[in-house]
Amino acid sequence: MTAGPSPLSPSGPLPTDVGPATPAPAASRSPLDSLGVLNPAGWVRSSRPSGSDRDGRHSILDRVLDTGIYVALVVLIGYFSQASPYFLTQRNLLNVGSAVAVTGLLAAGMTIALIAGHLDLTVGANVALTSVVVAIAIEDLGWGTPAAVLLGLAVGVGIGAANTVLVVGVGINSIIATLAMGIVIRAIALISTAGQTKPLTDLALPEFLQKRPLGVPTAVWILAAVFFLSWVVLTFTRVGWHIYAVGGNPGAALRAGIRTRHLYAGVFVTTGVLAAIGGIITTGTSSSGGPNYANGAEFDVLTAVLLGGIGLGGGSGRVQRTLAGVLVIGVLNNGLTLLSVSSYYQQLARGVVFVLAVVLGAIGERRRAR
Amino acid sequence: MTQTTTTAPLLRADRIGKLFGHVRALRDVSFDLRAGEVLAILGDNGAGKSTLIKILSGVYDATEGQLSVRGEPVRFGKPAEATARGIATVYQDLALVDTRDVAANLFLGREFHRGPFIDRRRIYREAEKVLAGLTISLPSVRVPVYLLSGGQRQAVAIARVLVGGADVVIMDEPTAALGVQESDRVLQLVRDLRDSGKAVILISHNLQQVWQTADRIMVMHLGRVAGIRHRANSTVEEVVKLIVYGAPEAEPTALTAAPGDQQVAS
Repeated sequence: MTAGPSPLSPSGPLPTDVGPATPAPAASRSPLDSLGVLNPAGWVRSSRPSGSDRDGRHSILDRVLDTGIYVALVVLIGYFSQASPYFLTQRNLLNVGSAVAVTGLLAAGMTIALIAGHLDLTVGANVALTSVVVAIAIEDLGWGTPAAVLLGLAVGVGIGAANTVLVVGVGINSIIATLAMGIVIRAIALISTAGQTKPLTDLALPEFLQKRPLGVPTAVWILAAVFFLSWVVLTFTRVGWHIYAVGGNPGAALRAGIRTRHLYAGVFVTTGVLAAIGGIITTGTSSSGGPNYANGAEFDVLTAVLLGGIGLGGGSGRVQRTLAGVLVIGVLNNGLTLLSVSSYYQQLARGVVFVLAVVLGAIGERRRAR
Repeated sequence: MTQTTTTAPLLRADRIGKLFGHVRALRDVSFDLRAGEVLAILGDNGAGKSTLIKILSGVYDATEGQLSVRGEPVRFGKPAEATARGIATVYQDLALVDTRDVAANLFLGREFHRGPFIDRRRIYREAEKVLAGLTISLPSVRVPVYLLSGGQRQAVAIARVLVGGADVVIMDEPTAALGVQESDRVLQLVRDLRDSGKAVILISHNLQQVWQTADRIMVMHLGRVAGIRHRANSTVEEVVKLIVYGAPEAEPTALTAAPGDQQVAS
């Protein structure tokens, strides 16, 4: 019977709505039935109009919120390809991809964290510390690049574990905990190089990132793989469904037997590792480890994620929409640069887009709160 | 509807008591619950209803007395153990994930899967089956729960309990947040559960709703059972007196009173 009329269909008397299992014992019904409002299908009818009203009232807004980010991306691409002959070249589009690779990795992690109901504001500092650690391992300790990369990933795991201890173990709000952790982590990065940027003389890592399998830069492949994997995990696996559940209603998830603490740990380690991968990519593309890398990256990341329409309340959000948000930022930065817009105005544009993203997020939030 | 009074009751509470330190919350609570009946628990605030419910659903452990399920003595350390015995509770907050659709909520925590992957097709197919068997009509099993009305949300919460294979469904004030029409639909659902052979424990403050729904009424007063009455055999006045004044002096113990009620029932 659920295959019956859609929630948007006008709700007249629909006796066929009622399944065959419906008992229709008119005699045994409550005294309230004498009001004449109720019959076996009454519930359906009483509730459906309000549902369709709600759908009707919000349908345009819903559609804007659902597809707006993709429309915005297409409009921006359309505009810049008209405005600049260089924009729609393969080379430039790959530039956009390379430019957003690190932001994109952080945004993928942030999306997963937000779906689980948490924020991870250590990601920028994580990039810096990982890059510094990888550079020190290669240059000062003489490690091979593969070992240094593994060490970098271990830094990501460690930061994720530390965040888990604070948020899950001690029970601190994740915004506060990761904000504080971010300051500590960046301080450690600054201390370990005395504030200096550490150049790489062993160029194995930079060369690896300059490779272009099938003409596409390595970093873009990594970005694509991470988004694809995140999409598969969130949409098609039990763990993914449980992440949505724990973010939407932690108490309900717990009572349903979902191991929420394990999930939170997994989420923080994931954001940590994704940020560490971002740090390794940054080290390679800049041929150096720098304690000031990705300073304030959280703002670009949050802009992208909010543009994707994620709910800050947890339990909702789609990683493919975050990718669209990341690309909007990348296209905007790239296009404005191609048009030789001054960097001050570019900063203005970024600020405006951030505000826009927050406003869209707030509207979506209010809509969900009915 | 005939009841088999010879088999062991689905759930039996025998002189259950609960102490919190030196504070006594429950004393000598005894009752039987059989398949295909609705037992309403009534009582003023502080009468011990919540404590009793928490013992039955495994949140608290009783300090005295014995619970049995199908004649087998049981002890619940945590809610999952009660659920495993087929006793499920529909909490007042419903424990739904608003952002997820009906099917995801129905199978929350027990999703069909192949290895790490969700078996989406089976989840949606089974969800439609469950709802079709329940006289619940929802726009679709793919609608996020936040779009549903209060009664529909209640229905999803109840349906989830059935997906878990519960025989005893404990419902804590299921109509507290609902309007008249929706309350009536939920109460119809409770009767449907009973007719399908489940045992339902219904906690409510609303005497009228209890009268519409319950087969037997257990009144609690100051942590004791003030009396168990068959609805058809009692009056609202009598029940209200029990709620307000507790058991009259010559009240026989609950366990000896219950079989007599049963006789009248069948």
